Amino acid sequence: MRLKKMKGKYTEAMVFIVKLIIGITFIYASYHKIENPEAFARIIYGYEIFPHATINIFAIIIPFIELTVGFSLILGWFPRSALLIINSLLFLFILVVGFNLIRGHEFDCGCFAANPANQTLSNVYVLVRDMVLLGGGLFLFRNIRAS
Amino acid sequence: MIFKDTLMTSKDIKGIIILTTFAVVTALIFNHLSPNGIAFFGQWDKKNGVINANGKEHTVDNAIEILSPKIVRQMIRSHERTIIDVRSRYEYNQGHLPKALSFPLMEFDDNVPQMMATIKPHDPILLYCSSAECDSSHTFAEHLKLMGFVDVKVFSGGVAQWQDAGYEVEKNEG
Repeated sequence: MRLKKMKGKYTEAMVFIVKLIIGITFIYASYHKIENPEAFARIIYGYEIFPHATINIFAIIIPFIELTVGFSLILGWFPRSALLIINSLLFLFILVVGFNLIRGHEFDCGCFAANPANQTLSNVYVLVRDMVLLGGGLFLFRNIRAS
Repeated sequence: MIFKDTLMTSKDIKGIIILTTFAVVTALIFNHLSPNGIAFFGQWDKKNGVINANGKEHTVDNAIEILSPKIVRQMIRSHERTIIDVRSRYEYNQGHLPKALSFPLMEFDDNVPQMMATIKPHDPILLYCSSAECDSSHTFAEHLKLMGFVDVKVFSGGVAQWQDAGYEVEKNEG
């Protein structure tokens, strides 16, 4: 009984920490994209995956989805819905980054900086980081109760 | 119930709709009001010139571009325009269009006296950079226009398209 209670408290603390990490990561990642949508559009173009007609629309909307779900998760407004969007986005990022790595296409992930000169993370690191975040997102989804 | 918590509920779906709608509406309003906003559609086809997102503050004017390397070659042969390479001096030395002068965009302010001794505002100018993915020749064109230059064109494909067309580049060794 006592052990179960302790485990519950431990899980609660983990949920709080992971929620903060993922939420802040998404808010922070959205900042430079909102500030400079032109540079972000160029980064999306650089992936050489998306149809040209969709590039600007993605560059306008994706950062605000990241910002909204980041805040939503931290503040507890529809946290499970926010997690479903976060996990879907992370899954898509993993697919896109993985696809370009497999075909040997060099690109700037544009995750945290629009200026490629500031892009120090290797794309393999980006892939691993997104996988870890997705793991965290799945953990949260499993541990945040559906009311 | 763990099993129930791993499934999507109607409240989750409702939340997704609310959050997405909020994000999309906010994004559209912000983009409309922001000075850094962009159009819904950009110019992402290199065949149509230098790529760009059609931002409100963008410097790319596809109307001043020359798309064909063949026309550029004719211009070089007939001395019709002064050709300016706006890339770095290192890139220029590695290979540049015949008869091109080197005035790197990065050193624009420092080079103004030397540039004004070489070209005059009424001279027809042709600028280029590395490819249709760089917009530095358009930024350079903006600077020249502000200085009173009236006939400035940009070779959109730059050195990459020039070489793809099989034309020779000049190299400065050393």
